[in-house]
Amino acid sequence: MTNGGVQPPAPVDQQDAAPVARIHHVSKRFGGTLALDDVSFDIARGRVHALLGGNGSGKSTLIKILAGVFHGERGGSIEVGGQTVHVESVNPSLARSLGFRFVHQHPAVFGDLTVSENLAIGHGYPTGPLARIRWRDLRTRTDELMAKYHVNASSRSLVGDLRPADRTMVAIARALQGRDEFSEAILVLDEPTSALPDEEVRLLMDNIRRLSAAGQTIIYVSHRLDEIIEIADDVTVLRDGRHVVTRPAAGLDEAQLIELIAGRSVETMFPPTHDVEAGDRALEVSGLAGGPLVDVSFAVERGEVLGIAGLLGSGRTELLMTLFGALPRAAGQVLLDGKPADFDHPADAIAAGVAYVPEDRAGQAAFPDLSVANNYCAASIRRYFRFPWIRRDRERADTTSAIDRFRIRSAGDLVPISTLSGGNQQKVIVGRWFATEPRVLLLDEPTQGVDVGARADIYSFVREVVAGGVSVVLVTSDFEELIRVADRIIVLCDGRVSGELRGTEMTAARCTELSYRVREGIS
Amino acid sequence: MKRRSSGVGLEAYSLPGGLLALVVLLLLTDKPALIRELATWQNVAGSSAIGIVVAIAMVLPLRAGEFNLGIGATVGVSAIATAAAFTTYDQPIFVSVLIGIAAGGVMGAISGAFVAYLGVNSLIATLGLGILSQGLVEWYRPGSGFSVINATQLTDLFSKNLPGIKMPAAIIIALVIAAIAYYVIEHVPFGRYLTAIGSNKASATLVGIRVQRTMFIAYVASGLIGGVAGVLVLGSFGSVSAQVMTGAGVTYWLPALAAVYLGATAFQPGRFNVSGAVVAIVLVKLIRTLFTLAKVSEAWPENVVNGAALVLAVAFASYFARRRAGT
Repeated sequence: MTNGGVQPPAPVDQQDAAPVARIHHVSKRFGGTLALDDVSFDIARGRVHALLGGNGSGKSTLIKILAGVFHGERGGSIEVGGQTVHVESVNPSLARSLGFRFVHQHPAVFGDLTVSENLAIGHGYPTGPLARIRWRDLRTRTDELMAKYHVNASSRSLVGDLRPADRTMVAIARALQGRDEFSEAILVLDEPTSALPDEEVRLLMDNIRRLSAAGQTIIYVSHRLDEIIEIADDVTVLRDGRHVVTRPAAGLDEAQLIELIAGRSVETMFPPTHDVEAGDRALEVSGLAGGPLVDVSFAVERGEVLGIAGLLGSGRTELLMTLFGALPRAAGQVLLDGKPADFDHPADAIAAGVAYVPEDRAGQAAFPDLSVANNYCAASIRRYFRFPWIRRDRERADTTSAIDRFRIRSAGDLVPISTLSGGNQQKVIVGRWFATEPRVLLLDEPTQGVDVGARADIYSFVREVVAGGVSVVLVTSDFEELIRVADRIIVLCDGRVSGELRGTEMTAARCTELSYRVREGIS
Repeated sequence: MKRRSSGVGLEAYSLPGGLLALVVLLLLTDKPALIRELATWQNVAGSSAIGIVVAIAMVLPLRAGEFNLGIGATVGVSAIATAAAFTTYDQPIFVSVLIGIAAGGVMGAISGAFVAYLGVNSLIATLGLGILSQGLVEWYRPGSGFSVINATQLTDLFSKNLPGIKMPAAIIIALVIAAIAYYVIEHVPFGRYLTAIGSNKASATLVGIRVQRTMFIAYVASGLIGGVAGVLVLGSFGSVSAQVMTGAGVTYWLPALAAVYLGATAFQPGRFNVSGAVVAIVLVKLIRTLFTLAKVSEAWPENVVNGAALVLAVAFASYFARRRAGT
């Protein structure tokens, strides 16, 4: 088993032909951070090559270098079909002439325009005398392409009316059009499924498999490991900007992939849970109503992690925000350590020892243009104020030690937080709330968009504070994760508590079942 | 001064560097006497004083991401209120000045209520309230103005120089206000709250900042500082009329807005800041004074400099912002 050892230009173990592309010694530096560190690997012809890595692993940077958006450091090169170019000189048009074609997470299709018009953008409209657009030619060509790519759409359909998977396929068709020889183009799909619901993912996977069978080389970037296992022929893993391994996907399972990406095994990633004895109640909620919430009652013991399961729209986020004083309550009582905790504003909740990590990091938690230090200290500014100044030296010292403690990858405490990868930003935000020394910590999707390594880090820090007597209310859509982390789970459905699970009852199937129960009861 | 990561040094100090370069350049020309002349600097100081105060009044709400374009009208209302209290109602000058500053505070409170509590777009709210108050003042006293020439305590702020430093007292008042604003914005929690709101309002609420209250206070402070500017305007002209007030927009808030944006390229690139605004005002006024002394007495040099500064400042800032982003 290949296991994270550093092996320079790993030969792809495969049966046929020379690689279609070779990446040689590509590095990229941002300020003091080395985002890519001497990465080399080969891409085999006509295969689906998955590019994997956590946030901050450098895979987005590598894609941007291939696209000519970022310039790599001098000394690296890309070889495609015998033609070698230096990475520092690649620009978008050179990348295109090498054969790279990119389709991103939110494909840049125009919903208000027809399929024909979408295809013509980027390729040009066929025109006649007086620059008249030859619509009939365009439609014929479009219908041929749609048939070729198995898209269930006519040239006159509005792209906005297509199902999401077909929209992505239109973007792929647009990227590949005019290239009759499949083997010449390398299609790069960057997180194509992250915005798609499950059944759309199926459809798109079928199409991708068909493309691959026709000989198309595909570089596939995704966080969803089940997809990778299903579709990838080869796998390249990056970690902390370095190349970990390039190998055939055959024989890899999800746990092994996680191990390659995170650099440690799954068993060590989630700290053990424990049963908490009833008696010492930190938080007691009874009959809470407001917004979508109807008569919600539960209690959290001191040093317990209470998981909240539920579907999107079940009232999970509203419950946490109501407890935090960020949403008004219509009825009900909340006791914090036995004392009424009726907060009108988050400021009151924070003063009483409640902390809240919001679901939407970019929109509700980060101050993107402010420094890491300012972000870290944002909820505890008053503590640093000793008349007449805010003690900046203490802020900076505390931030620096937090960067150490939480293993945050950052070029210091004064760079804007927006220069950090998503997972590292999230560690700063979570750290911000640990710094307020809360008694109750409300976590709303704390690991959303965070890679497996940072995810494990975040939960091990949560366990540390729980051991110190902090109570946690955790919301996450990932039921497997919830079960691993929570000591006990309550399930919300349409704003009501539809069940409570402990110990061996805590299974993903039970969570799912209870998430739908009330809804079915009503209909 | 906040130290930032390497690579922004050039940007952070290019504006003060430009001011310094201009002075050095002039020392090397055939008329170095001009820049060594005390009178030149007294003129720069006198004409900068009002500009600095108005610019500071704009920086406070802008730090939280909101405009106060009613500041020109605030200056006018405050000047009229002071003059009316002094002449029509025979109040002592000290009381009159307090009334003028309070009038500015009321203007700020009204703007703040609309923007912070009712959530009206600040551009629209402050501009509209400015036009409204201007109309009310014209109705209150159409045409003829007030003269406060005999209020020497006011006119001396500009016409007499303080012994020792040989500068008009008005610039000292302006610099003291700038210093207080700098301290509040950079060194106490309130300034951090403003900065956080300017960065992300939703995040600010969820770290426990009382966003509405903070915004409201920022507008009241902005209005009070605008009130001080109004008193200084009265002192510098010795009289005030509704016409002066109509002109106050073009004369005061547009140059201040330009300076605030130009200043946002300096010291803390990308952020509205007090030091940058002060340096920008002084730079523009120095250029204006030099033109005046070179016998170009019309207003065009200032307008040309202000307009160019506004456009260049924003162009410059977005160039460096892109460079910081690494593309």
